[in-house]
Amino acid sequence: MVLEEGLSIEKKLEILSDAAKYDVACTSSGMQREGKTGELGNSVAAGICHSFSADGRCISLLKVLFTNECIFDCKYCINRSSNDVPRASFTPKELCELTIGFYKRNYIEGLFLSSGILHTPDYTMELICQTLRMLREEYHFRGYIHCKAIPGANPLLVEYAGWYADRMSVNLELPTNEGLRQLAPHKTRKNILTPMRQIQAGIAESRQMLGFKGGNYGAFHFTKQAAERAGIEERFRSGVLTDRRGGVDVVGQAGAAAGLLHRNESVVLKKHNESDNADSGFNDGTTTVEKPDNRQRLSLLESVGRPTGRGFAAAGQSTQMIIGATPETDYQLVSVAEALYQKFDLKRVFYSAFVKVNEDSMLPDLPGGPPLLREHRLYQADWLLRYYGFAAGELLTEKRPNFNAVLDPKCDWAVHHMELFPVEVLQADYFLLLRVPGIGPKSAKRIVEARRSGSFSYEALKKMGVVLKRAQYFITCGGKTLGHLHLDETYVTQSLILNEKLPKNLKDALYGHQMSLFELPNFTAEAG
Amino acid sequence: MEKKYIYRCEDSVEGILTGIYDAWASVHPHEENRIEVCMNEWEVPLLFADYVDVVPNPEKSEKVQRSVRLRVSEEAYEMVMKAVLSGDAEKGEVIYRFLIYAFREGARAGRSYGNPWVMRLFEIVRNFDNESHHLKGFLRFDEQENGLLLARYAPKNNILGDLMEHFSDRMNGENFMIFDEKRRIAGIHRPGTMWFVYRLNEEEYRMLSDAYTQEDAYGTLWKIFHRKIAIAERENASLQRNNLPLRFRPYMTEFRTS
Repeated sequence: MVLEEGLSIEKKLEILSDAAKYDVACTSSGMQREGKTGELGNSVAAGICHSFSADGRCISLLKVLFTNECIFDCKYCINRSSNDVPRASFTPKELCELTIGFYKRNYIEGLFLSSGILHTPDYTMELICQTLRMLREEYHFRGYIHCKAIPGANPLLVEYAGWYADRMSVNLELPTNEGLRQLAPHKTRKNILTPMRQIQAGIAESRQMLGFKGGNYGAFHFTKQAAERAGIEERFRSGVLTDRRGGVDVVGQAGAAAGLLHRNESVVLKKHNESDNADSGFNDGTTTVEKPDNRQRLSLLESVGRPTGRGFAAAGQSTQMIIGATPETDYQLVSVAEALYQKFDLKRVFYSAFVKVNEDSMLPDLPGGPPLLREHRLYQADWLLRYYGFAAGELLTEKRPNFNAVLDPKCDWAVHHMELFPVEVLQADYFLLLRVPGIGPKSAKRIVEARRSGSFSYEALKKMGVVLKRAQYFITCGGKTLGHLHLDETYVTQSLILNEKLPKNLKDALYGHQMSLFELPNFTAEAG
Repeated sequence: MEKKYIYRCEDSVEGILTGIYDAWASVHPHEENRIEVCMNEWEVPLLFADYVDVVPNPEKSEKVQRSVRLRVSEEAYEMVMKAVLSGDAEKGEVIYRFLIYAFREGARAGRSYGNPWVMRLFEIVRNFDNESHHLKGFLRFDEQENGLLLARYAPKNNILGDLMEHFSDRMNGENFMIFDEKRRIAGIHRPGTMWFVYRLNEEEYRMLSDAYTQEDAYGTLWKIFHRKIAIAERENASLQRNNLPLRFRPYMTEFRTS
């Protein structure tokens, strides 16, 4: 281990931002907080991107490791203890100065603090807590803070960090226990899921007792359940979904309905041993909520000065998985994500295409570079889970466990369900509109609003944000079709693919040369 | 050719709304009126048209605003007020046509996207909102020797009010100034007072334009961070360009060459 003493702040920043670059989730969303006299900063619910790096990824937060000195030896990680790389650590004060200096110049929305494991998990978590405390209490920083909970750290410290942070995350790293055993020998699923459970409970508590949001409000739970409900007659009796105009207006009622659903859901969350996702490993009942005992908690809350006006990780919890380092299928990955949304109330699951930074016989070779297209498909599917009311089992099955390279998951689903189409956009309800390729939550909402004042044309649909090059095969508008509507799976599939601008490297990878119409694979057969 | 009456207005809230008021109050049917906002001085006049030079009038402007709020909706009012600040050359005409429709249609007019004028107004407002959201992130402050944080930019739409609102909440304890090079105006905030927008005279404009933007230690650190946080294996300049269009970059610390 190369330990350099007396490093300049430039050098430290260079080492510790370089070491943090593989962490995804540089988002600053989920928290609305006004400024306050005498403090610096506020927070905007939608999140703000401040810059984009050369890889095109958003920079919103000062994303750094506290230290890259690490006792763990995870095979995929650039900072593994057996690697010979320059090591450095910040001091809490240095990090505070950097955050404030950057924030005032509007470089960032706040701080994203992760860390290697220095000495012990507890020691590291204490350093993180110390930094957060200093930033909030001494520097009066009111901007966004995202911090990692270190697996294996004392729950009391995790709790402490949660009262200072807006978002917390624990990296799941690899989606299966097996993968974890092979590539991250110092980490166990239990050590990862325990703090996740704890953060979930903390968020739920701050929601119930202090009225903070947090969790996955309005997204996955609401959409999914409301979508299910949209299919049954009872929706008209529920009173929540039916609006005064007599139609189904779930758009405006999202908040209220989410509140109702959520309380029911949190009961379900507590007894997490039913098994509709048997192989995902999230229902084994081994992860009970470990919380500090009451005496400790009281003194802790006193010391962080509750009520803090921030709540406990009120912007929610997230996690990330590495894609392509281990042999999981997309179906397994999406099922894991779904379980995390449903059972752990996560706000976001992030996917990180594996970049091979270490030579290790346990790691796969990736001659084509990081699996970026696969990562992209997973994000698309993730969106479908959270905002479109799709279930993992609708997108993939054990028989068809991987996403289609040339069609996005929604188009892929639609061409396999031609019996549901065409959908009449002037009449179909919100959730049916959401199922049409080329229509998203925004355009669906606009359609529902615009048709109250009468009918409209395809031209207007296009301007509302509907992507007609995809939607045209699945809709009618006022009984009219755009061009020839031919509801044949093969025809629609081929047309969709021809309309798509596929990345050149994908075409080359698939066909080795320019693709022509006659060579299109037959997607009606279930790919193995 | 049909006779046209063209109301030429100054590019301001008062100018545009007075123009709309005058067109409305005129004896000509709506189809024969047109609202034109003077965004450039070199516009070529139309043949077969009568030009009416609109004199901005606070009372008339106030009346139009009140009618929109009462007879249409707060939402429509907000859309109109943003459109007035937009950089779209047709904005006056779009607002006029929208209001003709909106006063007939009532509260739901703001969302009747099937109507082409509503859609045009919606697009103008969306463009305004997007640029404002972008610049809340992309704007850069440089600390001057006297401690003032100075930002410089040249947006398409006049979003200065939005930005001042945002930053004075966020940095209520700071002295800062946002300087719009294109419109020659500056928003100024001092701790403990309301922010205001100031129209710069020639000398002040030149002074601010020449203000020496010295790269401080944090600028250097930020450049290091910006470079180091990218993953070489994922380099993607076109994705970066889609997300962060080139027009913003001349004003951003991390793209400045020193």
